[in-house]
Amino acid sequence: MNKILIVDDEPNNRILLQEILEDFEECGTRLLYAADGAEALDIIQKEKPDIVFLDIMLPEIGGFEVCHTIKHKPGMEKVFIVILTANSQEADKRKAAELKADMYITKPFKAKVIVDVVNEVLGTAIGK
Amino acid sequence: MKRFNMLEKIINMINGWIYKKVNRGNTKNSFENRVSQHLLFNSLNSVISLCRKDPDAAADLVGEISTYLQRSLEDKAVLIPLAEELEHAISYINIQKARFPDRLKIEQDIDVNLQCLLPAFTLQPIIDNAIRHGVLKRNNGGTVSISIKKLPDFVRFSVKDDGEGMDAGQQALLFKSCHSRNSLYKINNVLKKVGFKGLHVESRRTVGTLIAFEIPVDN
Repeated sequence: MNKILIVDDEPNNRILLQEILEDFEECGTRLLYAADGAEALDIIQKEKPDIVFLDIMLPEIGGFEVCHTIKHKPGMEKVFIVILTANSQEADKRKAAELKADMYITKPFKAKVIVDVVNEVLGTAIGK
Repeated sequence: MKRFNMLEKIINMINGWIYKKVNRGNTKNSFENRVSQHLLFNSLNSVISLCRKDPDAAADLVGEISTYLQRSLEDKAVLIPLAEELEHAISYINIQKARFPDRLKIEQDIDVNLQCLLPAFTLQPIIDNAIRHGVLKRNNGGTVSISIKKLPDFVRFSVKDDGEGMDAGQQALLFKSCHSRNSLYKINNVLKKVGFKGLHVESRRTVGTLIAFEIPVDN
C-alpha cells in the first residue's frame, strides 16, 4: 500500500492536502498526518511513507531537521521528501537542497502540482 | 480537481494585486519589510481550504487579509493614531487565529476610547513576535495577552506570551540587527528616534516573554 505523510502545524493546510489527494486515498493510498516534527519523525520511522509533504516552520523540531534526520538514516534515505512552505527565499531553497530534500514547493500551490508530484513518485495516473 | 481551479484564479488575482501595489511605488524592500510573505502565502492557502468546509470563514479571512494588506502597504505618517495601528494589529491577529484556532489564544485588555499617536508598525510586529517566536514554537500553543492602558503620564502597551521564552544569551542578541527577531531592533530604534523610551523586555526560557513600551499622553 502506498503511503503519503502530510506534515503541517496548520490544520487548514492538512485539510487542503487531504482534499487534493482524496482521489489517491479512494484508490488505496493511505494518508497520514503529523502536526509537528517529533510526530512526523515517529510516523516516518514506523510507517515508512513513500512521500512526505513537509512544512519547514513546525513547533519543537522544524522541517529542515526532520529532513536531515530522515535523509541520514540508513534505509530511510529513499523517502521522497517534498518541502512545502510559504518561505520563498533562495536561502531556504538552497538549504533544502543541501539537506537532500527531493523537491521544494512554495505556498500557495496549485492542486495540479501536488497531484503531478504524487503521480510521478508513485507511478500512478490518478486525476489526469 | 476542478473545484480548485476557481480558487486558484482568485489567489492569482490577489497575488496580481499585491505585485501591482509593489510596482506602484512601494519598493520590493519596503514591501518585504511591511508584509510577512510567510503569513500572506499561508493565509491564502487557508482561504483555499476554508472555501470548501466553511465559506463564511473563508470570506471573513479574505476580509482580514485585505485589511492587513491595505494597512501594511499604505503610506503612513511617522506617528499615526492608535485606532489605525490597532486595526492593523487586530486584522493580523484574526488571520493568525483563523490559521491556528486550537493553539492560539488572545487576551485583550484595551481601552478602546484611548487616543494617542504612536509610530506606525510598532504594535503588530511585537504581537507577531509573541505569536511566531513564542506560542507557536510550542506544540500546544499558548496565550498572548495584549494590554493598552492609560496611566497618569503615558499610555503603556504590553504584549505578554506564555510561550518559548528566551535565555539571557538570546536576549542579549535581541537588539542586534542581524538577529532573526530584528523587527524588535527596528521598533526599538524608531521609538527612540521619535523621542520615546525604547522597548522593555522581560523573558524566561520556557516561561514566556513580556515586551512593553510607553507613549507620553500629551504627544
